[in-house]
Amino acid sequence: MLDIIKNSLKMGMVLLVICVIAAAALAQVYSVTSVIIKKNDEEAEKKKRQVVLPQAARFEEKDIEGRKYIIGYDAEDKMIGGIFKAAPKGYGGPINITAGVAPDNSIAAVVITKLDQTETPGLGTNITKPKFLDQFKGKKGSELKLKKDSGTIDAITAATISSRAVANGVRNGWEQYTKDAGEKR
Amino acid sequence: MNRWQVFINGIMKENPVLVLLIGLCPTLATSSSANDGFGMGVAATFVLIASNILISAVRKWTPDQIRIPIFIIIISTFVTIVDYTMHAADPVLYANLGVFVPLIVVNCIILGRAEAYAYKNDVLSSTLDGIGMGLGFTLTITVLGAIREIIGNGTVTILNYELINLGEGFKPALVFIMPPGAFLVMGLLIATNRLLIRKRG
Amino acid sequence: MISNDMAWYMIIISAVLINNIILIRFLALCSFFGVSNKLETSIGMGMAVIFVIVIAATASWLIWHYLLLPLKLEFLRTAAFILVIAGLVQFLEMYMRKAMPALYHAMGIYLPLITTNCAVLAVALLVIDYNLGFINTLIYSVSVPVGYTLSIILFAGIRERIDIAPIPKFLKGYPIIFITASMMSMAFLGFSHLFGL
Repeated sequence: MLDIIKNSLKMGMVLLVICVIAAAALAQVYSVTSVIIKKNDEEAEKKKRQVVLPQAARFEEKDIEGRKYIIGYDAEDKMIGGIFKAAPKGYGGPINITAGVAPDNSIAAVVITKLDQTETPGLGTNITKPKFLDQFKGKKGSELKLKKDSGTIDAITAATISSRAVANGVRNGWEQYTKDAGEKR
Repeated sequence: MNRWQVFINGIMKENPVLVLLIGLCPTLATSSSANDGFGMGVAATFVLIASNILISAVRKWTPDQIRIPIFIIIISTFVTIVDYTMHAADPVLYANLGVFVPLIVVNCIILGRAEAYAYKNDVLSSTLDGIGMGLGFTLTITVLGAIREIIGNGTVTILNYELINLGEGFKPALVFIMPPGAFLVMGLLIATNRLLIRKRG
Repeated sequence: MISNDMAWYMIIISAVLINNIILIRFLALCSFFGVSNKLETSIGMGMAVIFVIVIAATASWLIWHYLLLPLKLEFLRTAAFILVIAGLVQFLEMYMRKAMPALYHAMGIYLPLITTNCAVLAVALLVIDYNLGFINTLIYSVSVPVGYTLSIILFAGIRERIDIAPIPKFLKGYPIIFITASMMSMAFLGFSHLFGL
């Protein structure tokens, strides 16, 4: 009887020691890598803002009734555009869109990186390509719809759901932006 | 089996995926491009070699009744290390592989080799076994990925570098980067490996 | 692909058909090919897997929300979940050996192998990644193994036919089985735009 207890205790101790060593190792790796991961996310965000408003020298975040925007200022501190984010539901999940709006309220540029979407590879993932996204430049309002929906944007072949999600996401975000910008600016 | 044979074994005769038919889930799921397949292969191989070494090193102090939980703790620790490291080093690959990175912990190859080999053999042999099996796994998954990617997408990418691109004129057969394509190419690869083994005698 | 605001019947349809765990999501393949050669073992495996996944997924959900998150121990997720699963399968084995000895012996090595069944750990992880609430977790964790059982039973039926069909020598055995699975997968792909999902 005492033997069984001794044996169980021994096994329990071995397990405990291994668990503690493992947990400590993991905590270490976690603290190192989470710093790098956070930095990567910040770098990616900075890059997106730069792509969408290339002439901006600095960015300032603005919050209007819970909706977040980013205003871009050039070297002379003049406002040269704003950025809004949209996350419409695509085919495989939400698509994170970053869109810049020029002072004349037309779309300056739209950027979607590979990490911003989980669409079908080879089909929906083409929404990250300039060939699709460049179509949004300079457009406003109801132009920001697919040609199938009486707009001006060509959908990607066999990826209508993904394309429509992006077009509608950009248009809805644009409408909200111009409404907020008109009142507060 | 001498040490060299242990190593070579894992690539053809006892190729974990094509012959032993283990480790199928990540092989089929992440082979829609050579890049993703290669990344998964390297990640799993790292865990396999590391676990084999550690389990073999502590086998004399591991009570038999609790060996499975100990294997699991060791393997899951390495998997978590790979998980966070990949997330930091290559976020795109990490996002493409998705849930299959933590699923390396239930990759039958790793647990299977721990039980069948590392627990019973010395550290050096276990290391070679890990390298051999890992190589067989990585080779298979990368070849599978390359075939599926070139027919299904017209490209072959590895280490985030585009090796081949068949250009705009090539109309890919999309089914190959989709689930049915995976099963199809896999079946053909198994048959091919079988023919190759038979020819070599 | 599953979000918390989906209706319950959508979750079921998505998990069983549209994103069928074996033929579309590539999980639980080892047991799929290993057990589907006989119909009885396929049904037994399906039942066992439903049991394990429901309990494992809900237990993992509780551990994540009430233990790992509050204590900021997210990085212990993989280890914690797989240990829970291993423990559960151990209990299931001990219970089945006493209460259902015939089925226990019929399933042989495949019973402890449920621990390494990717689908079990995957569902536990996915209910966290998809941010599902407790009720949706229950619905999802029942639907996924139901889809598994459906596929494995269908496949077992087909495999019994393949065994007596004339097949070229080099395709005999696993190659033709994989090619058959590829066609089943194509059939299930046909569900893909159902209800806009």
